[in-house]
Amino acid sequence: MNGVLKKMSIVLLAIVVLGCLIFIAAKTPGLKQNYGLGKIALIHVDGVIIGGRGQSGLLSEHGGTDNIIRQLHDARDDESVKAIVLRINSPGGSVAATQEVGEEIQKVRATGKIVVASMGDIAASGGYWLAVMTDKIYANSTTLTGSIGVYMPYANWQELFQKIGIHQEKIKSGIHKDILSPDRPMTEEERKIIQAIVDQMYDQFVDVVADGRKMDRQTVRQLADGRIYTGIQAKELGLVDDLGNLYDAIDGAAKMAGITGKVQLKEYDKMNPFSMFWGANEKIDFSMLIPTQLRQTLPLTTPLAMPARWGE
Amino acid sequence: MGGFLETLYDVLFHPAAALQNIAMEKKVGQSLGAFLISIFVPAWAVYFGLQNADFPTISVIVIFIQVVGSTIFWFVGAGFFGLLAELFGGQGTAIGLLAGMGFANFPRVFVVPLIVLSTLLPGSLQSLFLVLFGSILVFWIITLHVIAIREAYVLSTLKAVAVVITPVAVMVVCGIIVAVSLGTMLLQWMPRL
Repeated sequence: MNGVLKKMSIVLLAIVVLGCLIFIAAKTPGLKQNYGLGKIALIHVDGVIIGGRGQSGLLSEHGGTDNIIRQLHDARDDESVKAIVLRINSPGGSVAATQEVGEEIQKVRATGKIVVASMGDIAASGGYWLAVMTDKIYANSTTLTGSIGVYMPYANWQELFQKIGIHQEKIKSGIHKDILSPDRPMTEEERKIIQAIVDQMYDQFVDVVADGRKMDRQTVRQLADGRIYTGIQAKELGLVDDLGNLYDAIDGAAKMAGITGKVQLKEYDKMNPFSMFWGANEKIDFSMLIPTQLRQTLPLTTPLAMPARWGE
Repeated sequence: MGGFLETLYDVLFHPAAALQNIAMEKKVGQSLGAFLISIFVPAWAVYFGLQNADFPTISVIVIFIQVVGSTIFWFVGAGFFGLLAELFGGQGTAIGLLAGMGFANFPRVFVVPLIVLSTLLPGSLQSLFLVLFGSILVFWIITLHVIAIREAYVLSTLKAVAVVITPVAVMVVCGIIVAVSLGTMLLQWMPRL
């Protein structure tokens, strides 16, 4: 074959490949929708809800409510996003951090965007708090939810400290500065102070549930003794709206937002390449395994200004 | 075999002679051109494919990994395969092999027509079609790499195959060792019922 025919063959091949590329591009609905309207943002609330930035790397972010708030903020400002599905898989966490995320959800709803909650394995306590801030709650029939209540953990390690010869001296600016200190028993006065704080937080929780679920406070108080409910029980009691999985929630959000056709999801969190390649939904951080275990059992060495976690 | 287009044609239809000539003349510039085409054209298709499959956020990362990974493999692979080829008794230059390996990637562009053809098939046959013809394409590309090594280092076909297989075999063994170690470690951490 002579040179001209060889060149023509390659040019022909190039035309075929180019035509195929144009064909693929033309068949991509995402191309139009990238510049259009009608996306649903998917935001995950995984694990214990705790304030702060969590851990942020070049390609991944996890833990810390600052990340969730940033995603809500981005979804609020994104004109192409019509609705948000909050996928909750959390046993609860810090009151203040939960409240902060809840307030951001309210701000999103105030702009007219729909926010729907989809409960995973567990959406209890602080996880439920976030769910009631949304327009509609979907739960699986076996989801564990509820646990409406507040507790503040306290451990008295005085006897152990005495046995191992630790005597902690403190110079205090005020009588209650070392409240909840693990090296001495709690006084009755301190117990009253802490109980008042817990009660006030509980009242706020009840208010949030009553407002979100359109229930009267007395009914909520009857349900809010700290117990957990299955998805079916929660639906019967009016704590969730519907039973269904994540995609039922997405479809529901699309319907509420008036999105027709194929739903396009948008996520704002950075995905860990390790998780992508291994197909894991959970973002594994081996370095946090030991500290997480220790945090569950060792006493806190500084006075608590807030409950470390919600009831389990 | 002078021009770029003619060289591309010869790599596809007369690979032995073409890759020998490329290695001898060390056509690194043309090889870079062929390599870039063979990387970015399929990357475009992959980008749209991921957009279609509702993975818009990871499409950029996947393309980034594909482009960077392929480029690293091209450079490091040429050096590594060159070293192994010399250990197997071959004589040649890594630059010549680099040029040959750049052209050996060119059949990747056929991924694009394959994707288009698959969309014309019924849904149940699409995956089968892509796996079947994708495997043929992979085999073609590997074969071209073997020929590139053989021609650049004047080796027998068997030795050239051994050059390609040796690092893969070593990686598979290492992978198994790592997987077993990780599995053991994870089992220790895993909560049990």
